[in-house]
Amino acid sequence: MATRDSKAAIHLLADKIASIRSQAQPYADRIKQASPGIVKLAIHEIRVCNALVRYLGDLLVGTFSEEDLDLEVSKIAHAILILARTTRFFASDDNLINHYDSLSPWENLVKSISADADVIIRSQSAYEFESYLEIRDMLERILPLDVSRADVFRGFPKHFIVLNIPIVQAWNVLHYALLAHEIGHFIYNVEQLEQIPLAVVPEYRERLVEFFKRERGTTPDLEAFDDEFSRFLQTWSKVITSRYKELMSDTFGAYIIGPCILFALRDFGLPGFRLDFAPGDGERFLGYPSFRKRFLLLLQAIRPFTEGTFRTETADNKRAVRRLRRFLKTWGLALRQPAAAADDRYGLIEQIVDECVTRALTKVSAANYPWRYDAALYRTELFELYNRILDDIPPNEIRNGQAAAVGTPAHWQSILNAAWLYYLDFRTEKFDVFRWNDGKLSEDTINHRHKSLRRFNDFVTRSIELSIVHERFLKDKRCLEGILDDPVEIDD
Amino acid sequence: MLGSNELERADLLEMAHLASALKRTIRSFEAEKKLTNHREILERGKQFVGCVMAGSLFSPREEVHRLLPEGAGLYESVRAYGYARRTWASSTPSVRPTTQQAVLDILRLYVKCLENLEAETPITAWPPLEQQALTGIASFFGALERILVGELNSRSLDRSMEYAY
Repeated sequence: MATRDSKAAIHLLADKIASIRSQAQPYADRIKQASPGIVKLAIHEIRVCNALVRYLGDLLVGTFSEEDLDLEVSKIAHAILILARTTRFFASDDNLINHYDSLSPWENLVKSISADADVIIRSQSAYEFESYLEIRDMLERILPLDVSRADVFRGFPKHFIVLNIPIVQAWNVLHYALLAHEIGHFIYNVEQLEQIPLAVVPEYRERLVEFFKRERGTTPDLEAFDDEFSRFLQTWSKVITSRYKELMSDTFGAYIIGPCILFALRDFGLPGFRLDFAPGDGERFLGYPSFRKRFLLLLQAIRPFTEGTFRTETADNKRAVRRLRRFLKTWGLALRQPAAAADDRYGLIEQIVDECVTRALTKVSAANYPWRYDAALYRTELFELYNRILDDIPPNEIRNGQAAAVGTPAHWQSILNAAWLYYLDFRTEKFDVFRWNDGKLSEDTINHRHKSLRRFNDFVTRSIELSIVHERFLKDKRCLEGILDDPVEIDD
Repeated sequence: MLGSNELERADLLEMAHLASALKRTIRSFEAEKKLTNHREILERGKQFVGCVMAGSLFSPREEVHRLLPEGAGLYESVRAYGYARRTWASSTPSVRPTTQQAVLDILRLYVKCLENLEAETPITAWPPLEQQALTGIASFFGALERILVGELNSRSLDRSMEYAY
């Protein structure tokens, strides 16, 4: 039975839970004011709180030993810490999807990957582009096993995705290409690719022992309980898993959005970092593959898009295709050259990661994903849309060279890729404000480029929204079985 | 924002909840009073043992696959193995496995006991080795829970130190 001290602790925990619940309640009450994702999250967080309070009540009347009771109280205290962080996170902002139509394709994309998925796109300045995928798992994990999950998680989607685009970057549509990498993390989970390293690493066991000897200067005692080797293995297994996951997410990103992910990673991801990380880079080195490796893998992933015949409209388009291919080839050759002072100390870890990626690619390359951006579509639509941008016409529809024909809405990925091509290749108007800090540009020039970029952003965002509206209209029209096809006379 | 720290803490908490539930389930069987969701707990217990086996990197792949047909992550498995080792290290030397083969044998014994409980075979009908192992398994999960809660508490301390700086 609970003692006076443990009873006091249990009451304290119940008070904390009540406070968290009161923070979540206003969000759960906003059912009619949109943002269904936030409402769903708040409702389920309240249910988790209620389940924990009931559990605390059971502890008070149960027949637990004093030690068991202490352990239960400690565990619930940790659950509350995690719950409080979740509440603070979702209660501090709204869902960007409600404000920007141009983000809705991402929601549709996620639902085409898994029907039982919900998305919130947030914009919190303090954080980088990232996805948070395991909300349901996390809320389940903090509950004691005695609590039935069926009631608590009724109606909660299997996958609940929170994507964050920092507010300073959310205004620039070119940045959206990086969301593809974050969705790639989701696909990695859905495809259960985390199993591959567990199959690969035992094959490298002896070489890992050698690696340990080299690093620590001692032979590991594989049988001893306090050996360093176990901890060593734990650290490096985390490194391998993390780097492999990033690389596969990049690959899936390329499957989703096409070549522009490579340019986005270079222009928005690389600045401020080196091409190859060193141990001195800490978490960056441990948790992320080098940009060199990421770019090389992306160059491989986008090859189906850039090889093959492009539908071009002008001689200048043909030259642009040649420039694009030359640019990618040069890039690939430059990246394949080893860094001046190549450090092969961690070569084994790289080999294991490469092996995991190779096996994963074998698995996924054979799959026929309905959400994949068709490479042939990219080559067909790219230059028509690019030419519209050159003519200052929103690149929202495809007319296939027939001026009088009714156009079809362009694919949003094609619009984004055309915008990226224009951003990279158009010679008259310079946009680059992200790599300007080489000291060569005047402040006026930078301001001018910023203005141009903002104008361009509005133009492209509007085009994506127009294509979305067009697509919706066609869908509605199909539903209305031809009623909208009737000619409308002036007198009508 | 929520990040890997929270996920890792939630993982450890889940493992501690599981260890606690297994400890209580085993004790309740000894007392012939079953928990309502004992089947689910035992099933998850077997998966946990499968994870520990996988994380040793020495276990036969088929055996791991039988316990974890849907597979597991590398880091999660190596970490589960690490905590199991720490738990054995904290136990008395007489019950501590001292070779990789002994680790595998003891894990196999754990699986057998959990399967016996799942099949609701009366304890008196179990082979003597498995009967003897039952109390040891309950102690193992009890010690594992204490270690995991200790780990969580030390991480809270780390966090408060982070804020202090």
